[in-house]
Amino acid sequence: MAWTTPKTWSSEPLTSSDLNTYIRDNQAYLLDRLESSAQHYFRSSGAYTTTSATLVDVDATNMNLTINTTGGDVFVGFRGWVISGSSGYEIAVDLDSGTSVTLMMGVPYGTSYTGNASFIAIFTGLSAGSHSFKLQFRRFSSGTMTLYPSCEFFAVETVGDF
Amino acid sequence: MDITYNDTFNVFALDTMARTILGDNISGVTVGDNSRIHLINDTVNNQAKAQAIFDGSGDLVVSADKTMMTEGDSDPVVTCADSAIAGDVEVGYVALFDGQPYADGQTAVSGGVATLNLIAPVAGIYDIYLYRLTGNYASGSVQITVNEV
Repeated sequence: MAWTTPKTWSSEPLTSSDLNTYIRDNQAYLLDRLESSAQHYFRSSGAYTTTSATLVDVDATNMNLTINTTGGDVFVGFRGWVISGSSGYEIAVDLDSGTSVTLMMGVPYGTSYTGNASFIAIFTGLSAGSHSFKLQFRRFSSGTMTLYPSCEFFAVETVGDF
Repeated sequence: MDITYNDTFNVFALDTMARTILGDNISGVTVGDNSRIHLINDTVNNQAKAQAIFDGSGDLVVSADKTMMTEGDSDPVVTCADSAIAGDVEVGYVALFDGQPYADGQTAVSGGVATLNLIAPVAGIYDIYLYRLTGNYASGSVQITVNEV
């Protein structure tokens, strides 16, 4: 449903047609804007483990958030725990299946200890329209990297630009 | 390119098999809700090999002379006499101990039979995978539980 520039009333009769167009439909448009400008995924169970030395999608179905923006900045965040016992690791966000932005690098702390792997980031300069944000990961040279459940990933368009 | 299979493999076993069969043509594997082999060199031949690793999982009959034992018992012997390996020279193996890497390598096929001895196992669970290094890259596994004395 498209946005209709609100009417400036003077002294004419208030009609149901105008109310539907300028109040009902515009409110529906605004609600849709709010609902489609934010996505969130919470992983309640099941770890993700990779042995890849290059960045790969963590979960192309769930850790892949698509939102519709009006051209504002996008606030992206991840909260999670990781083990990478043999070599360092990297977590990145792939924007629109084309540009991977590294947001977290870590060093190993043994195979028995989890480390915090959380970050927030602002993506600026995006055009209005649909944008996808995919979480990616890799370990550097050897071993495995595991992202544990009870992690979450979100993307939301901000109201004000930075 | 990712070759994806809708089942969850043990990441260590899958990684060892995929690296042995595909070498530097992969960057690694990922296991989550599904299993993926990440091809760097995604030729048709490499895609077929990666798919075969998945499709052939469980197709080899692998057994052990004992699957439940106590520490100190005689060493268990893992055997594969599947007709699929009758013409093979070697097969690959991956051994996991409590889900973690324990040993891997290749062992000869003699008279159509491949055998592995698990030497002096300690208490825990061993998963032994055997897999073909050629043909359809079929694999199979057996689990041996070792109890404390």
